[in-house]
Amino acid sequence: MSLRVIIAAVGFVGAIFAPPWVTLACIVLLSLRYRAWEVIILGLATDLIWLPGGPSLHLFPLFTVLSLILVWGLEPLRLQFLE
Amino acid sequence: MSEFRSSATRRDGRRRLFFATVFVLVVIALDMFSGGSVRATARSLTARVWSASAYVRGAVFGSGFFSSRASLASENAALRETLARYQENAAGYQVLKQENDSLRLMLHLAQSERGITAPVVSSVIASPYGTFLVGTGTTDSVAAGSLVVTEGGFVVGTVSETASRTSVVSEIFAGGSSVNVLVGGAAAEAVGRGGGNARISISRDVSVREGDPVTAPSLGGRAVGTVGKVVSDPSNASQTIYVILPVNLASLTYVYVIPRP
Repeated sequence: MSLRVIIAAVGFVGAIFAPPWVTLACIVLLSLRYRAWEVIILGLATDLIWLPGGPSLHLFPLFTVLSLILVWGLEPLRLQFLE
Repeated sequence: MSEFRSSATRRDGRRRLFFATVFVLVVIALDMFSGGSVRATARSLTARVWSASAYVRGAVFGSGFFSSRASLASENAALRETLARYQENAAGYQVLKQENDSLRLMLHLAQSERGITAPVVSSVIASPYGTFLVGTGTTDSVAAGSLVVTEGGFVVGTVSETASRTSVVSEIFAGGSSVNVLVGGAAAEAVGRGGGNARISISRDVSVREGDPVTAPSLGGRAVGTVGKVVSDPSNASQTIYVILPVNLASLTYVYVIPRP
């Protein structure tokens, strides 16, 4: 099983059972190393489950926005160092 | 050749990212226009996973395979729970002692107050927004704004969103939240720090001792915590009060949901 799948699985399980920093760490790790679409889904899932009102415009969907920023924002870094 | 392959992989990865981004936007739009049906489904799924995991954990650790570790862990958990219950009882006693005149009235109120006992169906520590799920919803006539209290009568949160069988509870002392409270007879603003803790900055003239109850007039005058620590500096005009909830949030299994006064 690849490291990417393991980190993503830990992230999804952590979103339900573990403190938020576990999910956050998985998001950061995946974004740093991979062009991982799972990161975006993970951010969305966290907000769907925990954010009161859901990821609407009333409250800031921190994890969704953060995951989008990280996974797209770190693309130049990945291109520079990992490929 | 390898450069071509790398470029194709890169393009493929970006395409997946793009589709995932579009998917997220579509889900958010769908959730907004459907009145939260997507998040209700996600929470219902979370509640089921949580309940199922409790069963699995019980089955695995009860099998004897991890007997020494499991016995220690269960003993530890039992002791923590007992300690939390004693602390809550002691704090609840303090509250009731100070409000001696209204003891009967409060008991009568608690008995006569309409509400519903609901199980906690999610982790209390997993939410980055200071929320947790309880297993009751619109089918039990629970509405947003209802108060969520512990056995000892301490308000731990308010229902912020309801689905048919689950409700999202926002903790009173979620990180960054604030609530107007009464402590030592003076009004103050408690700023939440998460995990049932809050901080109050109040004039040093106000006499406050550890163990004093902290009540919230906006929540029907109910207790929201007790004074855990008072930090006072003679060179400062104000003192800092650390408020704690005398019950371990992580050990909550059932809560009482009552309509907002």
